[in-house]
Amino acid sequence: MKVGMRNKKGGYQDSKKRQDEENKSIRFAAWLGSNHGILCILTTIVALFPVSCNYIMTGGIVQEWIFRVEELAGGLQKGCFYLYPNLNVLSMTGIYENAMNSNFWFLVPGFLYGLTKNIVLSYRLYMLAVQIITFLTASLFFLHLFGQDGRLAACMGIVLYMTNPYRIYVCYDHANLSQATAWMLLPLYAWAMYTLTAPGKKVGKLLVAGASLAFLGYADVIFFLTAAGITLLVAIISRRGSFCFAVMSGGILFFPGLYRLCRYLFTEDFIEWNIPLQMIMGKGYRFGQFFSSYAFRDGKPGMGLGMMICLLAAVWMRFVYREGEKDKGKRGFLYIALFLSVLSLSSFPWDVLQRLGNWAVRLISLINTPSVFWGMAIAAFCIPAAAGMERLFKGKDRTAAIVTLAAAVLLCVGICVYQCNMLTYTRLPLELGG
Amino acid sequence: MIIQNLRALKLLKNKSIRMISSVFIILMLFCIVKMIIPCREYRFNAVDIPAGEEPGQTVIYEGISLPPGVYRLELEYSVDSDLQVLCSVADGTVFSGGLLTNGEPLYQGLGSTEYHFWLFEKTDGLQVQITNNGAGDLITGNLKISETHLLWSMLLVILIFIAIISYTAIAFCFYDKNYSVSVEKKKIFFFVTLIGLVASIPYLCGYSVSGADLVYHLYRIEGIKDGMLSGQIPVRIDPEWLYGHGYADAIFYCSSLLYFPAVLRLLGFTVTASYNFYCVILNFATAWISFYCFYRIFGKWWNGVICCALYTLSVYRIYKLLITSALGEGSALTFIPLVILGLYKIFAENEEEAGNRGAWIPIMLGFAGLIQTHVLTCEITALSMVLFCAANIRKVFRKKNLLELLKGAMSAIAVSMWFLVPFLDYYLTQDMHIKHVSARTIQDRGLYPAHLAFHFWSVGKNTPMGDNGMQYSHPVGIGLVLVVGLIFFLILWFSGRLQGKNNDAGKRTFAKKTAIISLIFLIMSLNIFPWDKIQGMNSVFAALVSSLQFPNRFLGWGTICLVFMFGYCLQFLSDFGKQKWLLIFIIVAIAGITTSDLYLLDYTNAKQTTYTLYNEEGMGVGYTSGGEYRPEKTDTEKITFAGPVLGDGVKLDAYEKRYLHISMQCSNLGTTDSYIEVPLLFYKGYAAEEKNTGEKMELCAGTNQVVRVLIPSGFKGELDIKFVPPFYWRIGELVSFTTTILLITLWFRQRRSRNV
Repeated sequence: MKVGMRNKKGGYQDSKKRQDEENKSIRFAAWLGSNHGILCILTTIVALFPVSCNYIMTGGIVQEWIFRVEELAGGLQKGCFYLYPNLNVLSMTGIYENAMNSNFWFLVPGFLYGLTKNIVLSYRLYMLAVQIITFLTASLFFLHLFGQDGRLAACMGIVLYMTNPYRIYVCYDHANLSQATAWMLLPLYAWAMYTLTAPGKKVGKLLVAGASLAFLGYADVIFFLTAAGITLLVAIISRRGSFCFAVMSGGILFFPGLYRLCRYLFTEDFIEWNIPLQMIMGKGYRFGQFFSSYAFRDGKPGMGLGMMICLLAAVWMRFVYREGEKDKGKRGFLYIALFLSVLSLSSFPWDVLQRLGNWAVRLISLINTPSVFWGMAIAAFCIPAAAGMERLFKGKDRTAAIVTLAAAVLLCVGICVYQCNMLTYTRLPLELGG
Repeated sequence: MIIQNLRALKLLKNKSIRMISSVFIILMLFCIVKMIIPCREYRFNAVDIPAGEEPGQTVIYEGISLPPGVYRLELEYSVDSDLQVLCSVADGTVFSGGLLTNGEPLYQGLGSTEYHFWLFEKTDGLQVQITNNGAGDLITGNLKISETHLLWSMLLVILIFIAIISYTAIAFCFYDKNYSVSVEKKKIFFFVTLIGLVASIPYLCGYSVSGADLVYHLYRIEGIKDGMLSGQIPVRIDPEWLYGHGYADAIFYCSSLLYFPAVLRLLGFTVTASYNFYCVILNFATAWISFYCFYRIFGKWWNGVICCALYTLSVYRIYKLLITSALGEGSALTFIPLVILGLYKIFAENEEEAGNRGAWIPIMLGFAGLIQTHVLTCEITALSMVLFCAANIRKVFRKKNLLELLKGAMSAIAVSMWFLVPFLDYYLTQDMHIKHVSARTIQDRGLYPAHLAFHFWSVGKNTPMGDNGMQYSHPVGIGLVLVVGLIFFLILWFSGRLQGKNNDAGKRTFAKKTAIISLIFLIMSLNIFPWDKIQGMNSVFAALVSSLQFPNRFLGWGTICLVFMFGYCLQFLSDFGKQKWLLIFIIVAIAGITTSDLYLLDYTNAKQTTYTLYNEEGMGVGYTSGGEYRPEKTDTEKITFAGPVLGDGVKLDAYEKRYLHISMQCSNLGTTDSYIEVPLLFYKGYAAEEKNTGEKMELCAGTNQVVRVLIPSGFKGELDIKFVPPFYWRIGELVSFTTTILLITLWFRQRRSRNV
């Protein structure tokens, strides 16, 4: 009964209560000093483990990032900023999966490299910044989403987001720094969209939402398209015009990226780039692969035990005590996560969609693997998982809840440590020519 | 009661349910109609393949248009080598996974290849390809592609499965809403299903994790399928095994449970899908059976759940079922908890209070399951029964207990007679290779004590051997958590703290004896146990010890005993109100499962080689593992696809072989008696007769133990050779059938009388 009341209270059911909630703005500094804050900071530090090595690890597509940064630095010295990589950079690495992604976020490491000529330093500082900013954006989003009454859920959400195996895989294993940056910006966009649902003047919020979407686009174009697509879908289902405007403003701010993408998809301007065309359906997840924790196959990490426990807590409360999520907004993230999971399956007919035309072949080839949607699904799962854990905590059996919570946190952190340790233990330092 | 309540809900009058039902009915009817429509055939004339073809791939037919379906491809050919040329189909125009097949390697002794392929999308670009290793001249003939109903039968089964799950879920939701299912029942369902699901994760990835025995057990499933297609019920000789010579695997290695995946294969599922589906069901069955048994033993749901998790996700079970793909032993582990429940009811519960009433049922079910899945595990279980009986010798000879034990044993034997009669018949009367493997020693395959408590197992490469030590050892252990449980129990026992109420004395004594027996099993699995000496004592021990192959097989019983010990410790802590210790123990169990068992499961799934097999032909037909069930002196290396071999003076006019049934028209024009050797291994049960006169022909073992039919001089006629099970096998089957029916009737009656 209490849980239901709290949920109703904390669930933004009506605008007055939400206004009250927003008025009680969380003092971030105070939160950082609290137990929850310290736990989240420690979790972030765990994810920094590979950065503490005095080298760049081999593996993945880190070479592509290095070439981009070197090109950027060269350009900056000549007084120009290459927003997109040149053909020769991509052809040197032979890696085309980020061909449509911009260098926007690599400006700082490029500048740093130009100053110091130390690529390792640039990489480490950039990665450090990515992890810290990811923590900050995740904190912003989860603290706002769960409000002051839901600090435990917010903390759990941050821990899940920071330690989830797919994010660690993207950052260090596959070393796709464009996607790592997108992971940094995803909570910012989610926060911006969530604030749009609050009453009050919308213009400023729309701009923020649009800008955050554009930022996401400048990091990774597939993330942009997915986020925009899902936002439009939510806008249609929930009949929120403001969401459409946010996507439009995001599209306008990301115009250079969209223009380039359209040129690639609908014209032959990039024909000499020889961006490989491929069928991606076979690279998708099988159902069982969603549940791996310690080890995974073919670059397909699962959700990890921590996330699994939290989601099971949510299912447990729904199934055993009939206490489901009452807040439609939070429930929406569950549906988004499930939708994205379906997109990531090897049985989702990407090959059939490619028959829509040349543009579809190019666009789907650009996705490279449906696994990317599983990554986004895990990000979305963090919300129902954290909410489920909080419902369990507010339930009758406090001892069981504490044990479950402790187990979830320990397993999140433990598996993150294991993943980072194994990576640093098994990967050679990258040999940097010259 | 539940059914009455559900009836009262009038679910079928609910609009949503009616709509769902309509959708299901329409889809099922569609499948049925598709199954009724006659199948089409597509014929293509022979094409020339240039002589001296270079190694590589050649497309021999292309641009074939076909609608979705499961097809059977038949290609005539002539090749002068075995396994050097592969015939397959490919299509670059369908979506990934839209065409499934592994093709079939071609054999010198066969004139045509036949295999299935699954096509899920209409195509106009199907190709038939030949991949040549460059070691054989090949001439291909006509091609025939026949449509089958298998796609629709497979979809129908999937629809029925989804419908059952959906209706159960809907019924549960309505029932819970109206009558409120108890929280305890929901908790049990949640946890046990979760444990089954977690154990099944590797089987939900679309491939089969490849263990050393995987192909062998897949052959067994295919053997049952082919046996049923050949008209044998129950299947005794797997007809296609050993290049169509037939192999008596089903006689020595009971395949009761494998009829399920074999039926799935007959309904159109691929080899990997059928195998995975079976393993998933097996995991759920293990989870529910172990939960039921431990719940009945300890009487507390949470204790049952923890023991169920410790057993279902135990290191040894993962090792057997997943890492080595030992399907027989993995299946046998499902039934062991039933035996321990029966033993507990007999020896630990008070017979004066009728505590042991019905104890024979779990014993019967357990033993029947064990006999019919893995005879070796059954033998080890029999040994453990002997140990338990010896430890409780006074209780054994009490009338009620003895009766329960005898009832359990006798009914298990009666239920398994259909398997035991042919098994013993062959074992005792035939000279089989299995009787000649007693020289194999096993002591050097024993474990180190460190194996037992090892925690962070990974897949491993080696069965422990003397010179390997523990390096890359397979995960043969019981896990640290169970050892902790045993040590805790021993501490309680020897420190004198293991006390309780007087009426619990029987249970306490049983626990103590179980601890000792579990220690015995653990020691028997070690390399310090004198297996070699025991083997040298006499021929019976030599055969028994040798047949064990690995001392680690005792870990199955070691695991179940230690799970019981762990559960007992939880029970003890709970009964004596030591809540903090209880919590610590539960945390230790959960931590152990997540860091050891799940780690191993995950690691195996990620790192071990995998196979995805669609049609059985892709895996060959010659592998027999140790070949224990072949007639002695058979050289399996020399067996391949072959035709009949004629003795002097014999003339063959017609010959047809279909599975184990050979029809031929022959004559002996010579002045002396002669023979024909046919490509069938000479097992007891084959019979040959002249079709028109019914004259029985004499059979004996021919070259390399194949069936040799003696043809008298001047004979001319049509011969029929087929496998005819002896009449007393049929009696055994009848006994099993009657007993099963009787037991089911008895169970229904008891249930009804209890409800009344």
